[in-house]
This record gives sequence, structure tokens and C-alpha cells, in this order.
Amino acid sequence: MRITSELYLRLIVTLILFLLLLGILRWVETRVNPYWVQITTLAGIYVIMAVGYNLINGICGQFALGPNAFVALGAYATSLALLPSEEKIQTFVHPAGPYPWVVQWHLPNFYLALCVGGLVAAFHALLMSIPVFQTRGDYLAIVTLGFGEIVRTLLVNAERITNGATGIKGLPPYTTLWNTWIITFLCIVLTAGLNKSTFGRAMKAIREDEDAAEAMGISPRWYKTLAFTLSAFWLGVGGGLLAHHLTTLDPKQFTFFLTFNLLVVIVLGGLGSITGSISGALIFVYLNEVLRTIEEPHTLFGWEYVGIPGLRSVVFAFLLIIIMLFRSRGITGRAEISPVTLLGRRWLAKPKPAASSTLPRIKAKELPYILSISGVTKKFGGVVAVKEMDLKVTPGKIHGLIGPNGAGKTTLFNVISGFYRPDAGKILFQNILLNGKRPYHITPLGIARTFQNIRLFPELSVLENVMVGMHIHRRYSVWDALLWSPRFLSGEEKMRAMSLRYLEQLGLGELAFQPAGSLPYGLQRKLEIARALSSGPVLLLLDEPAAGLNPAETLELMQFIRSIQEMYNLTILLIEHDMRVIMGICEPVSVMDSGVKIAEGTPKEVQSNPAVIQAYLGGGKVT
Amino acid sequence: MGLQIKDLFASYGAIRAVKGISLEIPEGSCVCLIGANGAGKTSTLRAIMGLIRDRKGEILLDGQSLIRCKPYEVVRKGIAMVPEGRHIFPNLTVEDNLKMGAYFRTNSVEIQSDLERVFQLFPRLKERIYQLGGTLSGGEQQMLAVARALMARPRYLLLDEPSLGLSPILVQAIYYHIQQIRQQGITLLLVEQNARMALEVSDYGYVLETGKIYLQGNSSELSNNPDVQKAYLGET
Repeated sequence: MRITSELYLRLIVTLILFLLLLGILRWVETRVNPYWVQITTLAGIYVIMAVGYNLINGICGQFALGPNAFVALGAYATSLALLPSEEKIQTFVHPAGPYPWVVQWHLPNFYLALCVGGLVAAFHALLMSIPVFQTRGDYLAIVTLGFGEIVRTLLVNAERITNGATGIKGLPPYTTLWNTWIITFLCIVLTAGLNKSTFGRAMKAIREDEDAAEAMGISPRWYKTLAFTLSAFWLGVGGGLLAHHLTTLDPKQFTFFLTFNLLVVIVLGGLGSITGSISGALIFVYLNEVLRTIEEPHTLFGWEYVGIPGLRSVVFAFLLIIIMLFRSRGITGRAEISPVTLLGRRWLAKPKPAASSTLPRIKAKELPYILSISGVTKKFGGVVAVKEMDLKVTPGKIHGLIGPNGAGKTTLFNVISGFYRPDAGKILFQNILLNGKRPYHITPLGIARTFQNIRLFPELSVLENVMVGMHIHRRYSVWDALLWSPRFLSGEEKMRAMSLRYLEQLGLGELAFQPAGSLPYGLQRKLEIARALSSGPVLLLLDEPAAGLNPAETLELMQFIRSIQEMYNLTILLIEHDMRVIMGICEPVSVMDSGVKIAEGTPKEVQSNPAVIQAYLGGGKVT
Repeated sequence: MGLQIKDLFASYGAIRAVKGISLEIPEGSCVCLIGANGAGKTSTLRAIMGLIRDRKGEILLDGQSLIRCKPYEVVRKGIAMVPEGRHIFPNLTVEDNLKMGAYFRTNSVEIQSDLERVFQLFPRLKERIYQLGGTLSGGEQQMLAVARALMARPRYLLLDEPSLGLSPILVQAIYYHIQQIRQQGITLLLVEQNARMALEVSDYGYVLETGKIYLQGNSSELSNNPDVQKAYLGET
């Protein structure tokens, strides 16, 4: 029997795995000694923390270093909510006792408290996101590192809230093998759902190439915030479970050492892979327990070994170094061990032709000019890259843009698509003013682009690349994705079928499941155009599509561009140096030099224009 | 004498990119490799330089084997490469980029005179001497990449797609420079998509297909070969 859909297959396998988990838990509970039951519970908690931490570090690719802070926040918020008021007053050593609001802070139920603990952690992540994700780069690592230390210091010094260095002892042991692992399972399923949705793909796209992701209509800031907040939530839940597993809390548990351990777990397992995080956590916890023996005194063949406390962290540090040397991607790498990778695709039937097999498209308006640029200037410091440029693009044309290297053609593209803010002038697209809009605002209006030096998402499959391109046409919300709602399952199914058909039409169907980075150069160029097209644009900006193609491949590309232009009734603005492309398919052609338009007209007119010959074509033979 | 490649194999993991290629590059000549994307042209150059470690076969420079040499040792033996897509150091100045090309050389007087020599060849670079590499235009970056390779004072220069992304006038300029470099007695191995240009400046050509040599011959013969015209020169 063949299963018609990958997602439904996932559902079935998830159910089977759940039953299997219940079986294993029953076995552990009845057949394994209580000590190892405790360790297995701890393993579950580590899995939650690792899966959460991996969401921001691995899947979204943003290096955060402060998971200890979120675990601590979750642990303290949960514990203080569950500790009876009298006990709080009794245990706090500060002469004034805990603050009244700490005494009053109370929740009736462990699970509710866990949730609130997670939310407290998530809230802090959300606050941090506002400043941190305004810029790119390594700020997140530095800020989170600082935050981890701030929280730890507060735990020690805010004695009326946390009871300081003494900590809180005698917490009720609410955490059990069963509730831990059921929450763990829930955490995995929810994160996996998100990972497989258009939102997870958006996060991975940001990891792979932030500019390209933005050009697909993805707001990097939004998705980084989402990943960071969700990550903090699960770390907070893990903290709550950890507190009620150990039944004691003190600030020493939440030092940078915890961050280091979690980092070892996700790197050991495979950054970016959920199954990697799970295996990393399991290996870490059980190995940590097995290695306990090296810290204890032994007598080996008459030789007295005293046992060295702390030796285990040395072993783990070594393990990390060895893994970095020989398997730098961790145990699983970025791949997931999923039913599909285990069984292979032969179990999956070909997707049914989608009801609406054509790509979703953005409606074009009937206007004399689709794009009209007037007086646009862009300066970089003292250099004027584009100077009072005027350009009008008529619908249905393939408009060529040529000019010497450094003439400002790509800068103009970047201004149109929102990567640069123009210093002066107006850009009107279908009567909408684009000035000041970000790329992810502009893509949904109907402009798509490619990049001069191919910018695919190399580790995502060809199919996923195209599906990221369709991001703006998603039909379900984050909640649908997290909860595997029918809308998510059917929406995702439709999107897949549509993308597969689309790839087949373009002759890329055979390659759908290959990583985009593994394609030969010429096909990568084609895929980049395909990805841009999948957003359903009205206007397509192509930046040197024929660069690096040989003459025969260039001919093929020209036919391809012409065919998509007709098929989708596109308007294309195209930068190219290959005069064959310009002469063959473009009309009109505009010529730029030193940021200024120096000529415009039919290819023939432009070719014989003396200014163009002098600045661009040169006197020699042109190939 | 010259550079001889015998039965070279090179792989990226499980993917074999070069499958038994033999080339003969006599001293003072200009040899080109043409072929479709993914034919293994760049991989051949990278394998000669030792940038692909997983390689088999023989690479002989004046009869001396290079197959066990690391890339930096290959450069010291007199072979330099201009990589595809330039790969200049974007945050170093033009001058520092050029000096990096002479990294292993110690005679500062000679380096200084070579610097003058490349500035003579590319006056444009002299104008931009203190500008950061990343702020140069595409054509200037290509010139910088070629000039940087020349700073190693190579006897052999491997050029990977020097015309990529350049305007017609700059393609002509780069090829003018290539011919000048050749007149200085440097042997050239040229990889190009722009097959017409490559066959025009070279003496001998090899056509690669899926990692193997499909055709070889004098460049003028190749440009008249109907198969080559159809598949690589885009003539119908």
C-alpha cells in the first residue's frame, strides 16, 4: 500500500512512536531500578531543553548563548508558584522575608505552573528580541551571554525573591517519568510541525541566506523573534521540570556551565536537526551517568585511583573537540532521521495533481507603466552610485539594462527591491510608492528578483527552495502549524503538490529532493529564477542570468526567459553583459554609465549609439 | 618540459568531478579548457592546485611530481591560480591584496618592483591602491585577482573564467591583459565559458564533458569543428 502524502505518513508514524514511547516508559517503570528511572526522567528534560535551544541556534541559525537564563527563569517562576505561602515565609533567610507578591504568587496546578514558567522565560526573550534583532550579526550571542550572567547574579542577590545563594529546598517532586516524557513528546511534535511548515522553512531560509529570504517576502526580524521566543518557552518549561525533578533550586545550577552542556548536546547531536538534538541529549545524560565512575575512587589491579571530581566535563570537552575534528556536523548533521529518510520515497505515491495546479499569482493592474522611477539617487558615502535616474518599464516587455561594471545597475535593482533606501527620487510600482519599504514588504506587492551571484538556500532541497518562494501565499497561521491543524496539513499538502508540478513543468522535477547547493551551476541559475517566479510576481528583476553560462546554455536560457514571460504574462527587467541576450530578447534597452542613463531605445539603436560603444561595447569584436 | 597532467581523477565526497584527464601544457604556450557547466573544468584546476585533496593521477612540473603537494607548496613551485569569482580579500586594501599574493616571497625589493610592474599592467589598480578590495567594481576586482596571482611571480598561471560578469569592453580589456601576460613569458591554462574568446587567444584546446576529455586539438581547428560550434559557440 502506498501512502499518498508525506504529512499523513508523518501523522501515522507519530502515533506509532507515541504508542512505542508508552511501551518503553512502562518497561522502564517496571523493570528498571529506580535510580535509572530518575536518569531517564532527567534525559527527557534535557531533550526538551535541547530541542528548544536548537530552534534558535540550529534551525534559525542565530547563535544565542543564554539558555541558562531561560531555564533559571522557568525553574524559579514555576517553583515559587507551587510552593505554599507558609513554606516560603519559613525558608527565606532574609530578615524581611520574601516580598509580599512573592508570597502571593501562587498557581494551583503543576502543569499550569510549567506553562507559566515557560511564558515568563518567553516574555523575557521577546523583550530582548526588540533591540537585538534590529541589527544583524553576532550581537545576539553577546547580549544573551550577558543576560545569562545578569540572571545568575540576580538569583544570588535578589534574596527576597529567590532566597539568594541558599536556594529553595524541599520542592514537591511533581516531575515524574510519565509526565516528563509526555511533555517531551509534545515538545518534539510541536517543534517538528513548525519545522516542517512554511514558518520553519522561513527560519531555515534566514539561516541559509538572510538577504535571499528577505527577497522571498520573509521578515527576518519576525521569524528570529518567533524562534527565540519559542526556544525560551521550552527552556523555561524544561527549567520547571528540572526544579521539581531535583526538588532543590540554587543559583549554582544555572551558571554558564549549563549553557556549555546544552551547547555540547546540540552540537554533538547535529545543529539544526531535531532528531540530532534528541540523540545528543540522550547520549549526554546517559554517558554523563556512566562516566560518573571516573570521578569516584577505585582500585584497579592493585593501583589506587582516587577519582578526580570534574573529570567528566573534561571528557565532554574532549568529545566535543573530537566530534568537531571528525564529524563537524554532529551525529546527524542537519538531516532528520524521519520516516521518509528511513523508508525512502518509494513508499510515497506521487502527489495527486493539485486542484489548482497553477501557481498563486499576484494580480497585475492595467497601467501604461508598471514601474516608473524618477530622479532616483543613491549615494554611498561620497560615491554617487545612481544619479537622478529615470526609468519607465512598460508591462509585458523584457526590458534590458546594460552598462559598464560599476555603472550602478545592481544598485538600482537593490533600490527597487528595497535592499537600499534611495537618497532622493520616487519609485512607483503599479502606483504604489516603494520608497522606504523593506524587501519583504515589496515582494508581496508583486516584485521578485534574482541575485548576481546566485543566492539559493544551499542546504534546503530544490523543492523547499521553491516552497520558500511561495511563502507569501501561505494559507495557515503559526498556530495551525504548531498544532498540526487540518488547515496546516491540507495547505502544506497543496503547496507541495503545486511546487512539485511546477518543478516538473520547468524540467527540474527529477531534482526536487536534492539539496540546491549540489546542483550544477547552470541549473542553480535556473532554480533561482524558478524560486523568484514561485512568489507569483508581476515584475521580475533578473541580475545577469547568463553569467557563467556557455553560449549554448545561454541560448537555452533565452528561450526559457521568453517562455516564462509568455506563460505568466510577466514584465521582466534584466541586467546582462551578454549582448546576445540583450539583442535576442530585450526591447527596449536602457544603458547606464556612472549612475546615469546614457541611452535608451531598441537594441539596434543602442548598439550603434557612439556613447554606448565608447563606454560599454568597445571597438573590438563582441562576444 | 612544461606541465603535464596524466590521468587525473578528483572527487568531492561521493561525486567524482574529474574522471581521468590528461593535459599537456608546454612551457610558453596558452592552453584552454572549454565545456559545459559541470563538465569538470574548475575541478581540474582545483585538483592541479591541490585544493581538492581527494585526487589521483600524476601532475608533473618539469618532470617533478606535484601530486603530494599542498596548495601553498604548488604556488611556491611557480603555479598560481586566479579563482573563479575572483575571491579577493574584501576588507584589505588593493595594495595589501597584492602583497598577499607575494606572501611567501621575502625579497622586499623584488616585491616592490613587481608591484610597480603589475601597476603598469593595470594602471586602474594604482589609482585605487588604498581602496578596500570589496569596494571595487566587478571588472576591477577581476584585474586585482589576476594581479594578485602575478605577484607570486608564477611561471604558470591558471585562469578560471576571467571574463565572468564583465561588460564586453572589460572582457576585451582582460583578454588584452592576458595576451600581455603571455608575452612576459608566463604559461597560461585558461578555463572559459566564453569559448570563442578562449579559442581565439589560445594555441591548443581541450573540450571537457562530464569529467572527461571529449575532444582536443589546435584552437583554430576546434573553432572550426562543427560539433564545437554547435555545442559551445552557440552557432546553429
